[in-house]
Amino acid sequence: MTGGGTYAHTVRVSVVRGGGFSGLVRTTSVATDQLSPGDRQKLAALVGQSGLFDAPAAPRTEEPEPDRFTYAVTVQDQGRTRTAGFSERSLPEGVRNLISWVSTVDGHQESIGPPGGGKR
Amino acid sequence: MASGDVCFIVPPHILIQMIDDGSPDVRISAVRTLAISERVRERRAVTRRLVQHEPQLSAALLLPATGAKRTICDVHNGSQGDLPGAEVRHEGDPPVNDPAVNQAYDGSGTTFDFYQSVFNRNSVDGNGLELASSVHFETSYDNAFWNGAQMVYGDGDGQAFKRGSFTTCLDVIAHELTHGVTQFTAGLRYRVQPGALNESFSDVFGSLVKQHSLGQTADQADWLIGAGILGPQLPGAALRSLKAPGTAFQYDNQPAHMDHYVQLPDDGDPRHDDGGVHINSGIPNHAFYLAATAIGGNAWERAGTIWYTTLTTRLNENSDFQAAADATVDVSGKLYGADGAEQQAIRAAWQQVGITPA
Repeated sequence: MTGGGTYAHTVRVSVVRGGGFSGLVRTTSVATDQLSPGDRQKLAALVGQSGLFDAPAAPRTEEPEPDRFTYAVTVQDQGRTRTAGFSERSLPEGVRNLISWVSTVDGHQESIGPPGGGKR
Repeated sequence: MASGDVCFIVPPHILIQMIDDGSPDVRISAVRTLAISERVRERRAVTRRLVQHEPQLSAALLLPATGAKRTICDVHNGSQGDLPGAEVRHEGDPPVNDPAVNQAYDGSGTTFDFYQSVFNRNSVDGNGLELASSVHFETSYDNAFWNGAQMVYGDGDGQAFKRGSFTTCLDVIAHELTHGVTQFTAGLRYRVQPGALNESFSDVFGSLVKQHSLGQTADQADWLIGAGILGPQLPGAALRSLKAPGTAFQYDNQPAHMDHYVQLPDDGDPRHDDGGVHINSGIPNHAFYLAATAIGGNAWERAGTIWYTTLTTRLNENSDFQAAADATVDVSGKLYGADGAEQQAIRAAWQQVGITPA
């Protein structure tokens, strides 16, 4: 990649959102090598503030609620990978901010599809 | 009034504290004080907190009323902690200069009227629950939902869903409010088959509210959920079809028969839809469609009454497809005669989707 960022490694964040009244699965991801230098620093800061590496990896455990969104957020950084699951109601603020930023930043990738994979 | 009940006006933040910290008895006392709380907003704040702690208690405690009591709020792109937002239209108020507000008002009123006039049900909880709705939730938010105490509508992102479309779609509004009816009745847990039934009852009554408002018979209805709300990212006519599950739009993967039931783990992974609740609902959805069209006439009359009676008196949080099939057949016999045309139609409908009622 061009751009000559100061990072020797690539940080990747992917957000999988399911549920809602459609049940559709939307996957949004970014990697630092696709971002501007300013956005790379912003992503690093948001990952830090999310606290995702401060707690053990865990799936969502709350009782599901009708038509609410559910999330799984995965961060890869220097060989560490952490995935944590959340219900919409219980999203910590730091994770909410990370999701919101990843979904809108220039250079993010997004796909949408049915739950459970492809169409029968 | 038993000792320990609160019998004076208590500020709502104190009531909320009582609900957070108190035993169930204290929580009940807190809610009884709602009867003397003048302000709709305060009652709702306390009710919402109660539902979070004691979902099974709230039905009996909420206040009876006559006629719809609607309040529409504008949350001004705020999120969960900002709900319900500013009250912008109350019951009986004239329209305001915001289509989302007026559509949420009209749609919740039409849904209330349907349940009242067809099933003699007084609001979502059967006990006159005030229907609160918040519009303009978050930014470009691609969803609408019942949060256990009120309706919440996003504006859509213009890509997956058309902007402003959720409040235009009566079957979506009625689908969500029916999640509230299910919450206060069968309480079907939102996982695997009970969850798919929960979804299916919302689709069935979502479609029936629309059919009733349009005066359509079973043959005339489109049986679609979410017609006209899909944006350019989601090519197709609607989100789901009870008439032809799996055909409504590009990513519609609903089965219409148990042979195509989609087994997904109920592991909290957002890709797995709590065990396929939005997928396998196609099977009971199609059973209802087949039953209603075989019986003929207005679907909400006989087929709808059988499904409503089943939801509100026969099912519980763990009921599966087989239990629903058995119950609808039994209810149809009790309401319209054993081995009558209705019961025969319902038995045949379930058999056509691969379930043999007892």
